[in-house]
Amino acid sequence: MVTKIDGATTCNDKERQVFETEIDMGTVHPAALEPYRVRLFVEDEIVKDAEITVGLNHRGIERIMEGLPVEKANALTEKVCGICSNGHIYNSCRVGEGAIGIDIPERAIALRVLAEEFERLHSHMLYLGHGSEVLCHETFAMRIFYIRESIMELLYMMGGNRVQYGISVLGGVRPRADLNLKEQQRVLDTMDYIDKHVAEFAERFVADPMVMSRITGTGQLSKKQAQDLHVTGPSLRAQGIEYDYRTKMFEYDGVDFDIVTADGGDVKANILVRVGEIFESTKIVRQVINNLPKGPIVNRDWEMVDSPVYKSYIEVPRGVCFHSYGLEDGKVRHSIIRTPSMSNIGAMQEACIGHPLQDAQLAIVSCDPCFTCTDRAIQVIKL
Amino acid sequence: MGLKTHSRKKAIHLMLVYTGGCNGCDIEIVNTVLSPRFDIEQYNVYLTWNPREADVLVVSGPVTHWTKEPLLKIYDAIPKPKLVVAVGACALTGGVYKNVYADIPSEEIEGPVENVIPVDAKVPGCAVRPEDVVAGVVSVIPILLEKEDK
Amino acid sequence: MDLVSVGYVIGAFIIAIVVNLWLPGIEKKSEARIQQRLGPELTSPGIYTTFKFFFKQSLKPSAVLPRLYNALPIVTLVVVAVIYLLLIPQVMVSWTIYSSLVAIVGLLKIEEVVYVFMSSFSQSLLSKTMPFPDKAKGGKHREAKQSFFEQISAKRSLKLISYGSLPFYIALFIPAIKTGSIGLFDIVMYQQIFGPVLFSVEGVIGTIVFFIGFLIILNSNPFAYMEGHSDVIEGPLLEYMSKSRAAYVMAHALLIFTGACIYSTLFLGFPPVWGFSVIIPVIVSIILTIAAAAVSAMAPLFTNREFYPTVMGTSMIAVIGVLLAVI
Repeated sequence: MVTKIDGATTCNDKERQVFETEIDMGTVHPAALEPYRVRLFVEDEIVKDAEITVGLNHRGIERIMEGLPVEKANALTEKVCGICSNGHIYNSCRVGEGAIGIDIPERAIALRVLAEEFERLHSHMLYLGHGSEVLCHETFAMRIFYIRESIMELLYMMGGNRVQYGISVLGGVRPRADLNLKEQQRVLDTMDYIDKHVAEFAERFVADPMVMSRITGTGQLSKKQAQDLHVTGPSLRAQGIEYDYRTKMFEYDGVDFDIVTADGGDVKANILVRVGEIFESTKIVRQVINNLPKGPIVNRDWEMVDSPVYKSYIEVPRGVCFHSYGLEDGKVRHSIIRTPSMSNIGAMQEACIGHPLQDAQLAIVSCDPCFTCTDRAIQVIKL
Repeated sequence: MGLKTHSRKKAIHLMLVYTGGCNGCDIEIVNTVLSPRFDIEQYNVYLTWNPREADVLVVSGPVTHWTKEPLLKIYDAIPKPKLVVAVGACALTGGVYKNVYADIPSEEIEGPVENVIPVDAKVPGCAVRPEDVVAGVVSVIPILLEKEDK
Repeated sequence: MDLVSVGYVIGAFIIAIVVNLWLPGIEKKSEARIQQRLGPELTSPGIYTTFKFFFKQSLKPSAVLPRLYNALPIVTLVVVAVIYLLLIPQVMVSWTIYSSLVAIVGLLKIEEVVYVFMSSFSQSLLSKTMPFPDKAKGGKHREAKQSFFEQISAKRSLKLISYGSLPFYIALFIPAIKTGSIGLFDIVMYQQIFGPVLFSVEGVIGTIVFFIGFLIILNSNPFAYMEGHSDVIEGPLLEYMSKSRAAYVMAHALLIFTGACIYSTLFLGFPPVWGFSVIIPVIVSIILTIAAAAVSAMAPLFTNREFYPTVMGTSMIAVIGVLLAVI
């Protein structure tokens, strides 16, 4: 019997592979910002294997949600992530509304779509800024952060806070989030501003031979790998696969937009997809503002019922986000959240391999990591 | 004012340690440094990622279990005089993560930051606004001048 | 060398100290202005940063041989100061044998080699020793040998020594070939009589190559390969604090000024002196700093993939310059 155990431990040859050295980055690192550890197995500065360890940021949000009244739990989901906070509260409200069976007024749907698109704009710009920073091109980072401020001001106008704006409530949106005519005009003006300046930025970015040489062919994944790893969101679309969950959401029914794809699956393709999506988002925002339905913004006419676990998927800036919980006496039960970065971690690990050390962080950043949201409910390893 | 205090006032290196939380404060802090709109460098404050160079340690987040030791080590690595600025509701009180049910503390959260390292200034907000971060960091400069060397 | 000459040398050093304390400020400020923001005060990054570090508490750096590690920036400072010393005309006249291009090249090589020692000694907290359960159950390759990321910097500094600084050294020899001497005194005298080397085709080529090569020597942004912000943070400098960091800031600033002086000596024929003509090296140093800041603001960090072709291409251009000078 002992031999069998020995055989079992030695059969996995890949585990036994010996590398020249291991370089660790994190948990405090300028390219990462978030606390995570990346272990790079390096031979002569070329990354041969990589491991990303998350779990440092475990806060147990789903555990805290358990047993909270559903309104409070919805507000709490916003604290899952500081970048796509609206995506979480939006999806969580969708779960509650689906479970209870609440009809949402049309104007509230339009306002939610607006908030979600604003968030996509600011998240993609943050991606571009962070990417430029990892490229050590500070001027581009500064430029895009400057443009990003305009959208942050819109979010501040709409929700009253720059980061966690809490637009959605059960049955609609908060009264504060309603836009009057003057504010609608301001939104349209900002969209023009963003279109103009992001186009300028993208032109300069693409015309820069040094930047292009850094990002072309870096962090490449094959289409098959991406599908096997279940990559989601813009990172999947950068592989040339036309998949956007927004096409399946009822909120986007009357809205006309294209799915942006790019070929190659390298950092360049990732960046181009995001730049293209910025223009698609401004297009969506214009359509929604121009056809903003009149009427109430929240439906208070509903009663709490018990419900089995209800599931909801939406497309957040990084991909498909999943929320589910059941209701019991108005309390949340069995809450599960799955964020898009969860399935993108595999892609990040694979994308590092075969590149010089400096490109490894770039490859990770190109998949738009948000380990903060991913981290919140993973089993922490006890030593 | 001697050369020592004057030079301390005119050149401040700031290091950011993010110890969990929702990433919101963190991005807003980086925003203060990277965005030309808030540009903290105009007050002679520079962002660094090297604890040996830093004067002011900006801590955001509720200090989760696994980030406690790195935070302590980084704090020890900073040569004196040093200051700690806790930024955001989580760093100040533990935020929404601290108490699981009303008053049962979560065992995953070691924070607030005060429980781990001494804090000199607090910047409230969830998430903090860049203006507040700039104001908070600039307001600790007088404390930095009075700090003992050794 | 008589007493008056010593006085002139000391005067030249005073000018160097005054100028080099301002140069980091000019660099930061011009970078900030390119990025459309206000930026720090001119005095802050040079003068006050140096003094602030000087007055900070010095802990024991986590490095192999901490005392030697702390002494290395002083070695750099001394080496750079000696290069500057050789450029002063009074020294050129009395130590003609020593003040030649060979001495400058040799001393700059020492400056580069010091980085190898710095990065192999430094053992910063931020990589290997960061408290984290790396060898946890289920982790990949648990028997892999961990190393500090300064070791990567050490390898990179070796690469810089082996081929990175090549264009700079070739550019230095263009004036020497044109004037037919490696003695600095002869080069200066030639240019005083026949006009600066700059006003010729090979002089212009040499200027371009000198600039790119000098950016590599300075580890300025596109070539900040060894201290890349996105992976090794600050590389060899990670563990410097208080006085040794102040020494490093000084040494780096003096290196910028010395580079400008080398340029103005070799290509314009105006060595740094205690006198009115020192204005030319000073102007050259300010132009060089602003240009370096502009390049660093406008370029991403190069990996080896871009770095190697850049160096090879620049060396080729330099060789063309040399051939032109020979003809």
